[in-house]
Amino acid sequence: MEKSLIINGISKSFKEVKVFNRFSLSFPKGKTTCVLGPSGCGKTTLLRIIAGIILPDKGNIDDFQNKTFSFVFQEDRLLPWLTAAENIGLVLKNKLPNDTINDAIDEHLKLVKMQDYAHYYPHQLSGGMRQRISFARAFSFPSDVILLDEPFKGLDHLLKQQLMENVHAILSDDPRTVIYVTHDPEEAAIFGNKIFLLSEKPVKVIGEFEQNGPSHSTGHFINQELVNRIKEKLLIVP
Amino acid sequence: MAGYPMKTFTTKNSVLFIAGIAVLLIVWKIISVATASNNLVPSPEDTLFTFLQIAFSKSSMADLFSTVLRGLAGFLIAFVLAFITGILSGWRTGIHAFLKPLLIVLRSTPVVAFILLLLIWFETDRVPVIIAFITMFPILYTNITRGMQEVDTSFKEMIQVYGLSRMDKLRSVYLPSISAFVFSGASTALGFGWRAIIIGEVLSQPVYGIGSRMREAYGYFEVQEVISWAILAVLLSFVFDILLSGLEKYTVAWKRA
Repeated sequence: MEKSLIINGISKSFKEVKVFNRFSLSFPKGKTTCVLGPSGCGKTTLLRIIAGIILPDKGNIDDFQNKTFSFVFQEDRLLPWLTAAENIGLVLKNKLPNDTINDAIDEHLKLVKMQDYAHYYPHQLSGGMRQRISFARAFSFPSDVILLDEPFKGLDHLLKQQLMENVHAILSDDPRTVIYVTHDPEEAAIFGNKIFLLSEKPVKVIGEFEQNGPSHSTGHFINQELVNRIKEKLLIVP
Repeated sequence: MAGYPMKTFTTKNSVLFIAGIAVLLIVWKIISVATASNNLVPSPEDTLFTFLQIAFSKSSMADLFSTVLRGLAGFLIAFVLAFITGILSGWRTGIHAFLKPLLIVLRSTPVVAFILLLLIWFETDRVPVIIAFITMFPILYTNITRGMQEVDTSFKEMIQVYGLSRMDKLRSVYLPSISAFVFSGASTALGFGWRAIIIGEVLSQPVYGIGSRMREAYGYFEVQEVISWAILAVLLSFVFDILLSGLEKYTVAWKRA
């Protein structure tokens, strides 16, 4: 059984702009891989290609074909006409046995500390609460790969800290294959077992770090040395 | 206190609405007095009397019922077909391209031309129903297709990633997304539809129908009756509009949670 999922030599252009040119990357199974790079460099495009939302012009993403995905987008993408519990239940239909769906919803709402808001509609919840529901939806879904696209973007510092600790605890208890895209070195140091630093247009890997998981740093005990190394590497990029 | 400005706005608008009706009635009264010698324009009070007579007579119920039945039959056929084709067109642009010539013909041909042709081809009783369909289908279809095209891309991506079944996509994402378009289309379609049905009835003269009675009153030069039937038609349209907006409020109850 292969230990990594690989994208091999992908190219993707939008009109004249070449975002990827024969780009390859490997993601260890059962670990969190953080992909760090400047805003707009193509990180979200990478996730969209992996998830099959868009196709690469060239290259091979065979390892990801026939895989199932959970996706936490930058925005919550909750359906406004469904309650928090219904939003989670909708994606679980036909994926879990019917008699276990309610338990899965309850369990994951508890994990993100939202059990008291199961019957609230998204417009009745704050931005941070909605993102918690989005996490619960992603983690409850029995996927092969979890894709996280700057999931804490736009949240205030305290809220972000709380939610990060929450997510960190969930991933430590139940390690899954996670591809986590961010532009924040601290987030990468907190979550990444493996960290790739990218430069833009076309995207290239300019640095690679590894740390042993899953008991890596948390929001309170951040691996500052790793953060400094990442920042140093980012600064020397022309 | 948050609701206070809204309440003021609504009250003010209600007063203006009643003032608008009052002005129309005053203008009507002035014209009726000015033309009293030739009986061309009856007074509002005489017309009200005739209207009440018509509205509460048993024979009028058959006319009203027949028109409503034709309208609903036309609407139902138009809605079902527009719904199916609209959803398919939203998913596959090729279907929209295929249906476009038909829509152009239905939208641009004068209703009277259809009525004359249908009178040649069909029994008179069926003509108003077909006219109702011809008038309402393009409006409903266009709204449903537009609704489908404007379903939020971010939701489409989300349901694609999570691999929802086709039925769940339709029921939980597409239908709620297009509901505003469906209701606005239904309201506009019915508004035009009632008028078209009555024109159809005036020209095809089935045994029962608001249009048939209008035509009859016109034949006997009963202006009061023509206006009374017209008022009844306006009320009919108004009642269905209220029913539709009630149904719409029910379907978007989550917004008020």
